[in-house]
Amino acid sequence: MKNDMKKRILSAQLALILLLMLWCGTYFETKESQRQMEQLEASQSESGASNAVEVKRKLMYKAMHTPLGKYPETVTYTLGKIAGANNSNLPVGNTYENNAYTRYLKKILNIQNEDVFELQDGNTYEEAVNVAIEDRDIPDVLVVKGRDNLLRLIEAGLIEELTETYEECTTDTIKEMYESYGDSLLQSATVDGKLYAFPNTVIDDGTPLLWLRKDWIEKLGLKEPETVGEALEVIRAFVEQDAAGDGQTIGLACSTDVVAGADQTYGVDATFIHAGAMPCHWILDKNGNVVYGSVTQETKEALLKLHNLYEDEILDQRFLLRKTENIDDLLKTGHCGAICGRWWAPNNPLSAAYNVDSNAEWKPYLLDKEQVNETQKISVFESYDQWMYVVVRKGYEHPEIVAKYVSAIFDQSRYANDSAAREVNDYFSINVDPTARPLNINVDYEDALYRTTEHIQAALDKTLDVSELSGLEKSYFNTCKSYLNGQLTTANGWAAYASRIQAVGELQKAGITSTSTLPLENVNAEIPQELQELEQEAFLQIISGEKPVDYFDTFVVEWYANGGKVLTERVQNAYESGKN
Amino acid sequence: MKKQIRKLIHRFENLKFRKKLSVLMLIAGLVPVGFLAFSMQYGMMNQLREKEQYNLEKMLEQSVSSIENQSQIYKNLVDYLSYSQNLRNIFDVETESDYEKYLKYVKVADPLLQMPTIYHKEIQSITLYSDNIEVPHGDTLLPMSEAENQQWYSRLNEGTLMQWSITRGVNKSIIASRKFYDNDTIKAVLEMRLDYEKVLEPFMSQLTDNTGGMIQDDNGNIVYAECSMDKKYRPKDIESPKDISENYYLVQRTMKDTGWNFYIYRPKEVSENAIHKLLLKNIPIILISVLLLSFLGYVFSLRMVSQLELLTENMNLINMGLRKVTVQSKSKDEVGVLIRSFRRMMDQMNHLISEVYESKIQLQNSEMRALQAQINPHFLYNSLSIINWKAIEAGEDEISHVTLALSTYYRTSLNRGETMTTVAKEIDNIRAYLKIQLVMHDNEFRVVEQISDGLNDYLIPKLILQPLAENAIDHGIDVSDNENPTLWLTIREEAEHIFFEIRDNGAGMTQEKADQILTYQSSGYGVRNVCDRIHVLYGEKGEMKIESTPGKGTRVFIRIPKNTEAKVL
Repeated sequence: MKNDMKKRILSAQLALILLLMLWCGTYFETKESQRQMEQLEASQSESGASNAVEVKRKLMYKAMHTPLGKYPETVTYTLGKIAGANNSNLPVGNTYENNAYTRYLKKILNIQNEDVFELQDGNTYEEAVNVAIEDRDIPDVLVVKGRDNLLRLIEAGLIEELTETYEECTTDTIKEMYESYGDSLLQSATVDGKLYAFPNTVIDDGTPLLWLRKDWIEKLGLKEPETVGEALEVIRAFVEQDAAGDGQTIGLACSTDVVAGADQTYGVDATFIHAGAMPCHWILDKNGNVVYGSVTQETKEALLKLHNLYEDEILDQRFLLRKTENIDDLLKTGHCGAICGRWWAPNNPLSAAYNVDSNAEWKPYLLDKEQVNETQKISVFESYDQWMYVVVRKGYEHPEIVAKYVSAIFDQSRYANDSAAREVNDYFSINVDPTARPLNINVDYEDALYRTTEHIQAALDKTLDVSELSGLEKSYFNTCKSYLNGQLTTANGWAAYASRIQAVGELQKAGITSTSTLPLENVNAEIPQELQELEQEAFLQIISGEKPVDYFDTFVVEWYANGGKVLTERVQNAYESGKN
Repeated sequence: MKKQIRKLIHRFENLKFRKKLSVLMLIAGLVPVGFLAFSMQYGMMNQLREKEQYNLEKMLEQSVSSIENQSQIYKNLVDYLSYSQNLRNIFDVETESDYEKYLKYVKVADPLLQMPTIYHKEIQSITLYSDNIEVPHGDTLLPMSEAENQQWYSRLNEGTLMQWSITRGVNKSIIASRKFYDNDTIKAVLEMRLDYEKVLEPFMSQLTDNTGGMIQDDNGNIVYAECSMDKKYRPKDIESPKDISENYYLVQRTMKDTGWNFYIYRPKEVSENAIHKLLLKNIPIILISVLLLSFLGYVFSLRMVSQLELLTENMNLINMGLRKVTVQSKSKDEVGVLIRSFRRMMDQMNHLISEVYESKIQLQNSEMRALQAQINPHFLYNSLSIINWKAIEAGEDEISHVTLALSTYYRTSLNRGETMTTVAKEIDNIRAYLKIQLVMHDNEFRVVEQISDGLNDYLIPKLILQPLAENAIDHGIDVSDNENPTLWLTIREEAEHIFFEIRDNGAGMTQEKADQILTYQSSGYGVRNVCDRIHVLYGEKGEMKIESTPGKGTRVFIRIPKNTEAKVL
């Protein structure tokens, strides 16, 4: 009886399990068939819920093949980020993954960066990139420095070809911008006719200017200089009449680097340019031969001039003992009234001095314009050794993302008068460093500097309607206008006006055009440390009178003997083979 | 107060012995438990305090010695730099061109003074001040005039070559300065500027979790004071070691080389709170021990005293009349001995009592037999029979009746020598007696019988009613002035007893007198004899009582358990 009962329960359980299995089977079967049905529907009709899928697919297609098409879903890309000092001056609460740029990109393109590393340029970033390349594990998007690294990546097959996305996903404006640099720029990122990276563009910075304290000129009752000679007399007067008032006025500031180049301060580059010299660059001489600019007769001439200035006490008498930071201090304390600097000098270092004493009215002067224009004509070689390139990891499903990024940031936000980009453009006036951008490159016209100033000036002159201005221009326009009508008295306001309007205006008046550069390809044209030191010491000795000016000839001989000759020949050969 | 104590003592004295014992045991237990708890607590508190102090000392020792080690490194570095001839050249050689100086500055001084800052992140800068340096060169080489702005400058002429100074405020930094002499005048100073936060980090990092600290430089200035404490613990003035030492555990340590005093402190309350918590933790343990003590005290005292209590109760019972010893003990202790001797004493007493009783009953029995033997029943009956017949012949019916009654009376009284009789026979007996008495009294009183049926076969002692009736007639009815003297005889059945009652409305007596009838001192032998016999035969189960009121009459009743089986004494 008991056994009987047990059996019955068992059979009931079995039946239940069987039923369950049956039901499950049919359930999954129906699911499967449903899915197939849906797919079928999706592929056949355009009605109902399947329509949304189709619309999405179309949107995605559009996003992947146009410069500014917005992705239907947020596309996240991992990134190796070059960070700036002081968190790039980002407003409090903003990060490299969440700032005006990333928010703008999210809004316009629906893309978001996810930083694998955020390291400062200098050593650590390069190391991290190196390790990533060696590990063959690079982020989706990466900025590499130096053409050699780019070539390494191409050779290793780690990066995606971007020829097509460049064609499809950059705006015409972006293409125009790249074309303004000639072929050599894009060519540097191209191998076997295939584009592998988006190169950084370095807009033309014009020529160095002489910045003098106009308030001192007025104080001493002098005339504003029109020639180099007059300018030197003004500086001499500063020193002799002790404009600072405590017997410690120094003359023209000069760093021990002598030549500042494009991104250093307190060089006396202007003197070299006035002498028709292009030191520290590979150039073509009058005969079309490659020569190193520092060993030319023009350079010797410039050094002679500098030596004379030193002797005449126009050049800072103790310049040898100072570092740039000491000169910064002298500017702040008002002991120096004359420096050489590019158009951006008001941003660095003059705004710091303005901050301390807003009466210090620095004014740019471009003198001896003919000679400057003459010097500008010298053909200078451009090396891509330190050039920045943006690459995309091979296999990343949205290789077009960089082209779209470039279009959005450098065309849409700047030139399209896009109200969504206001926050981005406001970053210029609150002095947020461009390193805040996810990708550390800049893409603009080579003559962007002049174009921008032209537009701002036109708007200030009311010959151009403000609404015609691009976002960036409008931002500067507003700042300059506020400065001019006295509403804005900050150093930033002054710096925007002095650089964008005054300094670039000087350059424009002089008709300075951008210099044409020659590409230096497949050759290591870097000057070794030894030769750099030899050069610097020679320059300093000559200027300070430690050695006579004719020592320059000895230096040239030494320079060639210590490897300069080989180097020159190498560059010559590379140039000639490139020409053919 | 005194009164209360006295009251308390009084109450205690009146407590039962068992309770007294419990209380005493509880007190005896509580005192050592309390003492133990207190001494443990005290020991623990001391230990905690010592530990706290020790911990603070250790903490401070650790952080200070790690700062000392660091500072030793910096000191060595400064020493190394100051012995460097290259560095000395910078301020020793005087006449040379700017270019020569430039070379020395850039190629020698800069690497020498900047390199350490790269390897030691705590070093912010190393600067050489000298009169020989005319123009500031970066922050590595500065003219002596620049040194005048430095805080250590005023103390430059003090003793040692190497000096440490520490400043707070906006320019907070730790500076090691080293002098170079040229004969008697200070020619140059090497200054190493250290990151305040980084150098003091081992100390600062300790200041968490209700800990405060401060640093006093060798001049007695407080150069650092911080405390991370809950608001309620915060000292009013975190920069006064004197104030703080009053309310906080404060330890102090002087750093080597610099002579700075490091203080670290913690509020006493915090550790005392911990102690109080510990105390709270002990309370349940103490409570449990108290509970255990009371329980054990109760159990033990119960065990100790139970025998005594039993004994006391037994004694009380005996006092009330029971002569039985129920308490027992095999124990050899005093209580056991007491119980056993009590038992022996009672046994002896009972023995004596029963001896007296038995001898008395025997005497009664023998008296009875003697009485019976005196009367030859056959001779008596024959005589009475002849008298009866003669009286009938003579027509004297009354004599005949009396003779018959007398005959019945004797027959039932003698009862063939049996002491027990049936109710029926006893009724015959009493009726015969009363008939004779009525004749003797010329029917001067009335007899009212109230006798239930069905009791005839129960056995009862013989001659229990006659003495009562005789008593009632002699002492009640005969001496009464009552015009209608009556004697009631009642026999009825009760649940387990048979109830007999002889009542008269005669003279009566005081209850006191009535009670005396049943005692030894009584003269009424017959009544007392009845009582004795009932008592002997039935003990507690039987009962006999006399109730009397003077002038109203007397009532005597007997209760005898129902009994159908013969019982012979």
